[in-house]
Amino acid sequence: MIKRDVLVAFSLSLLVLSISLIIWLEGYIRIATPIISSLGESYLYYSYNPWYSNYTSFSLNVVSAIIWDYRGFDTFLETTVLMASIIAIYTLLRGFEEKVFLQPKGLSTITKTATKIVIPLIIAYALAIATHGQLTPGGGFQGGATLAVISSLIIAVYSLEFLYYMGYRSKRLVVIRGLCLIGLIIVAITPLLIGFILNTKSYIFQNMSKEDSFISMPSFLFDAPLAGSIFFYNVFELLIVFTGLTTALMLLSLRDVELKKAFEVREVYE
Amino acid sequence: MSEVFIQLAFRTSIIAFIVNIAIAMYGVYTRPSLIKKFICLIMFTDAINLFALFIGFRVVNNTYPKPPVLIREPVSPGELEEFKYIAVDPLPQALVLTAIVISLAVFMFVIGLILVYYEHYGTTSIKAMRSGGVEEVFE
Repeated sequence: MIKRDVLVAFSLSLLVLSISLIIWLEGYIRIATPIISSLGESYLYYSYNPWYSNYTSFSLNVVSAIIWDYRGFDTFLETTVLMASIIAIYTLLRGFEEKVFLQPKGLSTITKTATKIVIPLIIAYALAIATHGQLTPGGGFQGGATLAVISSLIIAVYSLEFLYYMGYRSKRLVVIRGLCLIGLIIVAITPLLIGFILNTKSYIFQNMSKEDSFISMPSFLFDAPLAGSIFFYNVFELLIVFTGLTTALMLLSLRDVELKKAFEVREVYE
Repeated sequence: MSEVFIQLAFRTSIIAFIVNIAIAMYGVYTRPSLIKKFICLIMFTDAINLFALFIGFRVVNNTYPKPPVLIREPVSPGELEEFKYIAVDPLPQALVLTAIVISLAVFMFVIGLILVYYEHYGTTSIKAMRSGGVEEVFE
């Protein structure tokens, strides 16, 4: 075994040396030069450009514009991958039951009070990240991940029992997730339906008006750029990621008593 | 002078990334504990993602590069032209965001799988699993 370990370490160090040599010899990889890819430049130019209203998305944050407008379908499928992983964890732990009246335990009162103070701040920050996704760096996924910190804090400090007490059940969360995914689909096909009613051409995931279709989502709310559907996508994505991560955290921190039946069931099948 | 320094700093950090990748691969291949393999896998994806971000970076003459976010609404097309030549590439950032979400989904499943393995065999070491489980191996 020791001989094999040494061999692996030696070959990996050779790999390191060879790749660094290739990068050092220049020309193979373009890093820290004045030139970037022309596709990236065109995104930078058209992301918020009122003078080319057929190409723009009215989003000041270019990354948000790429994620939800120019490559929206990718991001939708990515969201479904997140959903699929939750379902996979469900099938792994099938047969578990959530028991509500176990004795709740937690950390000391000092920690609990500090958590109480921190939680509203986290909620405000996460909402700001998600709803300002088209204006500042951030977006739905980042906001949802920030919001999921709350549930991990509660599980660590107050115990899982407190989440049950607040009404969180993994099945309810999955239902909310499904509804939010349907909401994403509804926002995506809204321009299609409007086009069908008005008898004009329109596209799925259409945000602003294109050359051959004048339908567009609202680009401004009073004087703040709303970036059309990007705002709605971000809000739905916030809920999806929050409920998804919370479900995963709850499933992975189930107590032994709750998991007992799941593993018994599996042994019977085997 | 400053450009030379930036190039040097970048290459050093890239070599650091590659060393990081090598250590992570070593962990994935040789450590018997599944938890350690998992940690090394996370290290591996993070190093790759940072590497992808570095490709989008750019050096601008006389000023610092800007993030791909407009600070205020542009008043003239000239402002956008200037922004185009100062901001870093947004494309790798968007792709890395997608990659992070998908790797998170995969890792959540993998950690659930490790939990089930631990419950079944009583250990997370694959060497102990091969010999029937239960016995402890300190490695």
